[in-house]
Amino acid sequence: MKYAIVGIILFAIALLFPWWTVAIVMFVFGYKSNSNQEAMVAGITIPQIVWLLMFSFRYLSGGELILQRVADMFNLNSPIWLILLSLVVPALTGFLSSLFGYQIKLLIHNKQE
Amino acid sequence: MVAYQLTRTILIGIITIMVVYLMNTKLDNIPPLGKFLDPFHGYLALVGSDELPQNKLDINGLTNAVEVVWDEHRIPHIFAQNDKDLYFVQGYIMAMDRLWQMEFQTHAAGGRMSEIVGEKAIKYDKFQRRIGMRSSAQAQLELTMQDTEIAMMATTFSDGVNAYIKSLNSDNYPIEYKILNYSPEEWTPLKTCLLLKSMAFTLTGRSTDLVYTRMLNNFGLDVVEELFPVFPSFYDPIIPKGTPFDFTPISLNKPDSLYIAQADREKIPYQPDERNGSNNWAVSGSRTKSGAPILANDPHLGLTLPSIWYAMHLVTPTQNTIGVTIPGAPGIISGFNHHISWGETNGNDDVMDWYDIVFKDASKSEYWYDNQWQKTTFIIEEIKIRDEDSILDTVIYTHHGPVVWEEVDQTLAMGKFSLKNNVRQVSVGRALRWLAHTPANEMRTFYELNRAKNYEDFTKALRHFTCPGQNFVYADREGNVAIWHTGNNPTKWEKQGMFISDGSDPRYDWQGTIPHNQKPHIKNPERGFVSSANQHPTDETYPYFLAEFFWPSFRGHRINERLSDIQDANIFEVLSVQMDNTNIMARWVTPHLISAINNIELNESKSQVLDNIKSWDYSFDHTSIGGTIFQHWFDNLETMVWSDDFGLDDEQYIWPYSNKLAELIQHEPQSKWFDIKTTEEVETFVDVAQSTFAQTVEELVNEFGEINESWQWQNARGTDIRHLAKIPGLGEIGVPTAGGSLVPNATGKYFGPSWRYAVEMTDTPKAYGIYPGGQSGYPGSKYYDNMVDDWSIGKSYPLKFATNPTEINGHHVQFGGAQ
Repeated sequence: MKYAIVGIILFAIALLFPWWTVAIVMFVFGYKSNSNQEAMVAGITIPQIVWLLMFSFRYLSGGELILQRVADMFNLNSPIWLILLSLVVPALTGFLSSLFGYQIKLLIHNKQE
Repeated sequence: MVAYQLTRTILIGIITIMVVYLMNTKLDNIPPLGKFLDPFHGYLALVGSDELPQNKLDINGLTNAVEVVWDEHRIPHIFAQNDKDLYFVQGYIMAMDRLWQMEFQTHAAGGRMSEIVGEKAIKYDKFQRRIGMRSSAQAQLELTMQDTEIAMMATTFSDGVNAYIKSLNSDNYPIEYKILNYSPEEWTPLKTCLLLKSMAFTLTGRSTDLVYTRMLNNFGLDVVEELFPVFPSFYDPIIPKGTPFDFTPISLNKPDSLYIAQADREKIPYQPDERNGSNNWAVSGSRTKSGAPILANDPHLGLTLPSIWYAMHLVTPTQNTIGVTIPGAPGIISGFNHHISWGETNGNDDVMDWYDIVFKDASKSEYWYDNQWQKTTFIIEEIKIRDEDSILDTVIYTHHGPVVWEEVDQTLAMGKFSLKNNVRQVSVGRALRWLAHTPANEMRTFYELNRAKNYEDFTKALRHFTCPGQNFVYADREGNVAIWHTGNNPTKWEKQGMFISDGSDPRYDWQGTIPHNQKPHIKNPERGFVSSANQHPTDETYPYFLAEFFWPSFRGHRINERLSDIQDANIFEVLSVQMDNTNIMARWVTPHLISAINNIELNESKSQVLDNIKSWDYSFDHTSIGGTIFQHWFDNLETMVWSDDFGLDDEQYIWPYSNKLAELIQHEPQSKWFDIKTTEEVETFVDVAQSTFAQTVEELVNEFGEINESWQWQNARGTDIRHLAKIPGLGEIGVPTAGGSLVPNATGKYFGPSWRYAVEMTDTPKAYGIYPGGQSGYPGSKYYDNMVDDWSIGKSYPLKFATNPTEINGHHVQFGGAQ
């Protein structure tokens, strides 16, 4: 449930604000996480799922042509590869910012993992 | 342990910030990945951006409601109640489809590419500034703004573009802005002027003064005259040979002997493609079934996506005009109305001359001219560079024009002492006189043509057209056909400006302008048609020197052959001439090539190839294999014949044009030019033909295997329609085309008919047109390239010409006005 709520918040913020705000949301999530593992795994997956949902929506609303063009631009054969490559962005950003948030938490509370 | 934790946290924090920063930043050619790939605000935010407005679009700036109908090809038909509203909506709609293209082209023209791509474009920007693109556009703007009607047209068009820009947020900026990571800026009439200057450079910027001078320096005048004759042995001019020129020409002050400069720059500077050309013709009613004249036009340019042209239909109480225009230019450039039709081909006149300038001293504040020192002026150009400090470039202006080359690596004489005209010379510059520097009001030409009702209006409109000089073809509803070789070209003496000129001698200056009624033109000729294909405008009796080079007449002659045969023609027969693929040069040369290898022993591969070319009909059709063989063979022949004398084409020298080699093959097979200087033997045409035949077969077999489908011309060559900024994936590569640069269907690897249209001037004109691309500039739209396939097979679409919106089926939208 907690993850779903974070996902919804992230989706709403991603709709309104630039892509890098994913880092802020996941930083807060990381700070609230209970373990390093939770911060890292959720930090990767939640932003990826949010982006994947939006990719699906764009594809189904007529984005096939532009996906193919951009895949060609990056010398990738198929939009699938493009989407997979694109998902590295939220995964990496979410992972690092969430981990960062959790590390700050540890530092403030003077805890060791 | 706290220190360890602190270090780890700081490290992760730094890495996080760096990753976010890097993915939000454009790195060389890679777009900012996070920003660009974001499915919320990146390129995918554009999905659906090509959808047209629904029913009514509230928009400020209009006096009355304007109705727009988009037909099935997304061509907008704009019905306005006054001209201001028309041009406003024209600007708005054009920006909807082509905003990035419009702006990018003007950035390129004005030498502002460094602002987009950074320091790698500085050299390009400097060149654009130094040839006077910005200063000329500014001068044109000042003149244009003094003309009330044209000022209205340019400013309301700009207002329309800006209204669209204001309606955007960063999510819906065209994709190229996202890739290159910048934003659109306000549109101004200056940008339209820059666009026209850019077209002037594309069509008149090929300057051979330097290479001819180098050839003169190293081989002598005889060689230049032999290999680059102003009038070759075969030519078929636009104004038929023997047509008298009944006027008294302006007398010119000519020097007694030719000034010989030193061609010092090592390589030829960037030049537009020499094959930029076009066809146009008009067949009089005596040759058509309906009795009404039929006009056709197909301009050949480097092909790009988004497309060079944008089709529109503009209707107000003062005009009803349909055709194409260049994105960024108001009005219609090639098209027709109820009364007249017109179309252009490039005139190919030499209107770009270079002058040696002798400065008094290193300050370059004075230069020697007419036996005295004259003052120069300095213009400081600021070149802004993305993410870096601007640089300043001081450009020196003489009365000829800007001194383009003055740096150490550009002229040998910089800092070198010599004596010239008994004056101690410390540096030499090279100034450019270009017709596009002359302030002119070309927009008025199109404004008047769009509203023209008869031949008199047509000729009056052409008076304003200065540069680039064009062959304007004409047909009207009254049954007239005509062609004018226009442009306010300078009056030149024989070979003036063919070589680098003496900038100190007034006799080398342009001494005047050809009076309008002395420009080559013809109306209703006896042969029942007029035509042009960038060849010589006139025969040798025309009293002014126009250029040292015009395109060989093969294409023009073939068009004339076809038009001479036309009787009781309908519009489709006339359109079919645009797709004619017969190569006259090949028809003349191929029998000589075949006879050169007829009696030698050949292996199976070579025999097959020989059999194929023996049965070839000289046509570069889609499936022609003979065409592929001939073109490879002739290219190899050209390389073998000229490279030992002149090196690579377009480097130190240019090679003689194809008609010269064709002439040598037919009439001088023993010519010294066939001898390969790197061998001890003395070769003739037969030796070179045999050697290049073997080479051709080997290359083709290596590339395609033994003769099969991939040898077909459409597969072996094809045409690449690249993206305007050469962004991979956004073009159409390997379009299977027929044709070639010497045939009416003038296609090449990267160029071709950028717009094909024909119109029959019946009471309600009937017209067909197509261009290789689509109306939308958005690569995710089906209208981005929807016409390419039909274009490649020669199909055209009916152009819907109507007087009111209800006559057109399509998507109707009301712009502005009450509910």
